[in-house]
Amino acid sequence: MIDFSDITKNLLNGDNMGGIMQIVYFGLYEDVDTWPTKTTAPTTLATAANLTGDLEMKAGKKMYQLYLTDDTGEFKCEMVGEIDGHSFVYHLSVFHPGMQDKVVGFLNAIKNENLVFIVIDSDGQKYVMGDALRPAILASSPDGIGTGKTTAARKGVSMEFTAKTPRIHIYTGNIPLTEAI
Amino acid sequence: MWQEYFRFVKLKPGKVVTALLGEIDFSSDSIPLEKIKQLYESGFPYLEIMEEGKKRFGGSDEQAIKSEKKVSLKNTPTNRIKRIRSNS
Repeated sequence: MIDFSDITKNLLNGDNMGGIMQIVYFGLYEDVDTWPTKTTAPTTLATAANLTGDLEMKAGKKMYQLYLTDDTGEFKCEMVGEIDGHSFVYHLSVFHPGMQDKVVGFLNAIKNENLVFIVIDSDGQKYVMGDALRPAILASSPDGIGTGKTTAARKGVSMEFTAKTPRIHIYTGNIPLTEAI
Repeated sequence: MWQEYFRFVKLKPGKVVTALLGEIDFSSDSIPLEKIKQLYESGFPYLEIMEEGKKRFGGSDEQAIKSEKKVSLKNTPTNRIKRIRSNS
């Protein structure tokens, strides 16, 4: 049973900036070797939130970076389900500028693929989308993929990724951007 | 060089976004030793201490690191964001 405690304002250094970093980290779900673990029977509020350990990739695999235009990225946790059956869906929306071959190829490659994401918010707190049971997936393109109508329009690729999760967790581990051995 | 004292393990030398100090390129020879030591002591899973490191830091860590440079926090995620914003 959780030992409840007071929940005060508690903003570290007074920081509470909105939005996410201009980079999110992604990998293929099947390339993950070890997932960070959820606390079983947490005894404090903090341990009920934090994952422990690192997300580690299989030999020869790593995580990659996806650039997004500033102030276009958002990470949200939607509560779903009915009474006695609540859970959450993570939503990550991003806009990548331009229609260059790499991002078009990325879309083609991952449109039906199982993925994992790590998102860092503007205060440096990290979230993992995907766990040992369920991946993150490309769900939609909320602002479209294309050139826009006018010359002043923003050309590029909008993507929304989702992942279902029984709990909202904070990731406290590292992100490997080089291949595992 | 930090590689005289610590070994980068489980990954090919390259970039890792560390929980403690932000992004670090472990293929670089010029990472301050104090930074590496701080990561190792925090339980960073991709560093192992070598015999030379044990000799240098074993027992009297405080004394050993006094002459080392202070840790630079410029690559923490928060500071990277601030830098991106100030450059735009």
